[in-house]
Amino acid sequence: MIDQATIAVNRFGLGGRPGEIAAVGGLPADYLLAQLDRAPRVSGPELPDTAEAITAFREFRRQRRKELASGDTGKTGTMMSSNSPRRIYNAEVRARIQTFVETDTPFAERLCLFWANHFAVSAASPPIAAMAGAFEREAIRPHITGNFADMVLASTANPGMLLYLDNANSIGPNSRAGRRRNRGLNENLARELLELHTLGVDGGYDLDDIRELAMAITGWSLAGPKTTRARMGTFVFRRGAHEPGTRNVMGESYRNTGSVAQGQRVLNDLAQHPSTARHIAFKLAQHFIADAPDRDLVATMERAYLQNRGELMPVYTAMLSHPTAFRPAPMKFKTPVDYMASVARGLQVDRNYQFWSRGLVVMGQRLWGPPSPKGWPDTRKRWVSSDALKTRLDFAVAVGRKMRTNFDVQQRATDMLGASLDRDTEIAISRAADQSQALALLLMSPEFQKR
Amino acid sequence: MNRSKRLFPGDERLCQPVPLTRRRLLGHSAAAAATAAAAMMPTTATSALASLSGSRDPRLLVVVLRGALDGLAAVPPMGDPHYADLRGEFNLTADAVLPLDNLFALNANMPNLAQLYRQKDAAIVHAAATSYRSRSHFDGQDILESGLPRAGGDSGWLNRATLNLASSSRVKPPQGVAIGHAPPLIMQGEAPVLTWSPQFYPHPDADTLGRILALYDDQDSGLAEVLRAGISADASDTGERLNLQSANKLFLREIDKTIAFFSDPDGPRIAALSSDGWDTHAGQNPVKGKLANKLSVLDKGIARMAKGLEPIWQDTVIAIVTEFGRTAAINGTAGTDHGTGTCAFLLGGAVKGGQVFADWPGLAPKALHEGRDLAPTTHINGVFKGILRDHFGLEAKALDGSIFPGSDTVSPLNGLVG
Repeated sequence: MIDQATIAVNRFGLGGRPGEIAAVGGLPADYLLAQLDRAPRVSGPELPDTAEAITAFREFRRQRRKELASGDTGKTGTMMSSNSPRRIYNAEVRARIQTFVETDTPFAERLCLFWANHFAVSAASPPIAAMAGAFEREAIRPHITGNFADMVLASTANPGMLLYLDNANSIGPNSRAGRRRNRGLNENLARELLELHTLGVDGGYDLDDIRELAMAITGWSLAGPKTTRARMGTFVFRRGAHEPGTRNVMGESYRNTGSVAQGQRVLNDLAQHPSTARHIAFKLAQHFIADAPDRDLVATMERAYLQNRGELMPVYTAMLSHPTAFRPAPMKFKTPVDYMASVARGLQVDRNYQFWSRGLVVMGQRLWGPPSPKGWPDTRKRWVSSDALKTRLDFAVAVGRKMRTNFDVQQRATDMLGASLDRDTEIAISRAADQSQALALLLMSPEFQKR
Repeated sequence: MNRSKRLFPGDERLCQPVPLTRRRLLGHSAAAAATAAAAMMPTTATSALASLSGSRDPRLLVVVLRGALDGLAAVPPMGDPHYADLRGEFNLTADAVLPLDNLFALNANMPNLAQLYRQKDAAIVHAAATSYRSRSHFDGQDILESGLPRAGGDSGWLNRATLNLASSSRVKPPQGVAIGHAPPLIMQGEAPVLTWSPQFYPHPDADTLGRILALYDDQDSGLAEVLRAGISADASDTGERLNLQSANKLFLREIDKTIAFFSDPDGPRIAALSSDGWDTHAGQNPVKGKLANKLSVLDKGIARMAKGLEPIWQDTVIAIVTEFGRTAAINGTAGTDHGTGTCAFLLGGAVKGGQVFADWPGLAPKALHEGRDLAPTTHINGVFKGILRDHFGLEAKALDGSIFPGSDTVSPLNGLVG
């Protein structure tokens, strides 16, 4: 019988490291919620913030263009300079993997990953590659235990999001700038706010709501090189680009304030909308519990959301208190990021970060690099395929060969999987030809792929 | 301007009214056209019969060039009087192209494609696009792959086509294979799909494989089956390990594997393959730049396909497509930005090659879409529908129903395959 401590560590955490399952104690839900109280609100002080990242990127691009104009298309100095998005991204990935290994609050880290993916800014485009880690630090991490509305506001106003979804250059057609220039409204951010971030695709909005919301957040931009009132790359409200007039979104009207307040009010109301409650409850339940989550579980979380006006702690509490939360049978298949995190944490890796980050690329889930604003899917349908399983197997075998196993693999199997370690796996590990094979068997065991 | 209402005078299947009245066929010299017309009726009749009786074993590979191929650099309209001006110093001159007809030429980095074109084993569709008119790669690829008018679909047209073929085929599922870690959208959907990507890590030894599989057989037979398929797809692979940075080698390896899949008597018959890195905002020097390199590698891949698929070439169609085109003019960084109309390549023995299918809108300033892009005059879904109809015998009911729902206003392009 799989005990609740094992489930707490695997289903809601990053997998077991030595001693972790034993430390859970008799109240696993309380153990998890307590992590959120003490989870660090800041991380990576040595890494650039989004403004520094975008400034570095612009400098990088300027140098690169100069190189290209002079006919130099090779990988010369600029590509490897400290301003290069790739360099910044690699440093971020390294820090992220270190956190996977070292954190004392893995449930909080799972929530950071979940919310950063919900408000995805994709490292697939170069300026965002430099900003994705900083975006998570600034817009997500401080708000995972707060009110959802604050996370919506913080992520929408973050330079990373404003650039990724093109709001930085969106101009109200009747604003001063709009009347002067032949540039216009960009609806990308508004569309994703409604479809992905708040109400959800079946949330009951229409094209007018998208357009109205897009106009409400015109002027939400970032400081450029010529801006004097704010540090380059930080948020600024451009009054001259803001569409004047009253906005109507989802049946509510919002008069013009000539400031960010109009857009903030719309976002606040969207965050409190019943469609948002349903969308968020479903997505959290689907992420943590099952691809097709129990209806009562989702309904309970949805109620907690609405009764507490978008406060997230009561939603997590409702999830962890529900009878299906600790159901022994694992219903989720680990994504490559989940998988790699649990391998790195279980083995307590402290070097060769490139091997681990490359593993993610090979397995098809580059960190912070989803192919679209939808973020990475986390369902079995997406991650179980012939190639995905075989590549994971190759990775497990490669880890087995690479790791210096100065530990007892059988003991480590129990540390990592607790009571979910299958008897067959245990026997197979004990009979392995060598330590490398033993480790590969542990890392590729069916139970280690699931949570 | 020739505004023929029919693509092939003499093709009896085309005697039905063709709604796109401005469409015309380019690239046929008079002599070639006469030969084609003479040869057309019997061959068409035979192949139509053959496809109905199921004696053929058709294959379709769709290659998606991600990042937006500059159709005006790949297949430059040398005969268009506005072309040279738009391209400025990056104008392709006569010595940098391989002429196709009095309007179009092929970028000189694609000699193998030119050869196939002359052999009538390759055709080009120009001024083509999806229905998407904005400029996001993500949405553009989404729409190209889903075959739907809007982004956000959760299945691809190639998967839905595979599903339609499932009942009629001798091949056991999965009939579709996607080269990659997971199926791209074009191959996502209800039809089961095999996935494969080149080996990155060393091949595990047989003993370890056996022990791992035994765990799955005992504990999770569903996953065991999927894992077995993955192991078996890798087993015949060369085992040469890949450098992640070497996208070109990767692409050629993927082509080799696709050839192996298609050549297997019990292998998949529909395949999807991607090539990244076509987003040439800079460095588009046609002779030695990034795009020239990309085209050259694609051309090598094309040669490899033609050679590797030779025994089944007559049963093969390869469609090479991209999400949208690029701006008609060169930008300030010696590249081009996201545009609209572009070209597509069709290869294979089943393709009616040696032609450029285009309703050429011209590059005059007023003819450009939004004043900046090659205007699209051919819906790419019409190309796909034409292939699915004439190569696989899929009927309008399926084409306009589950495969391209509500697309009855987009007619299948006639005369691409046969």
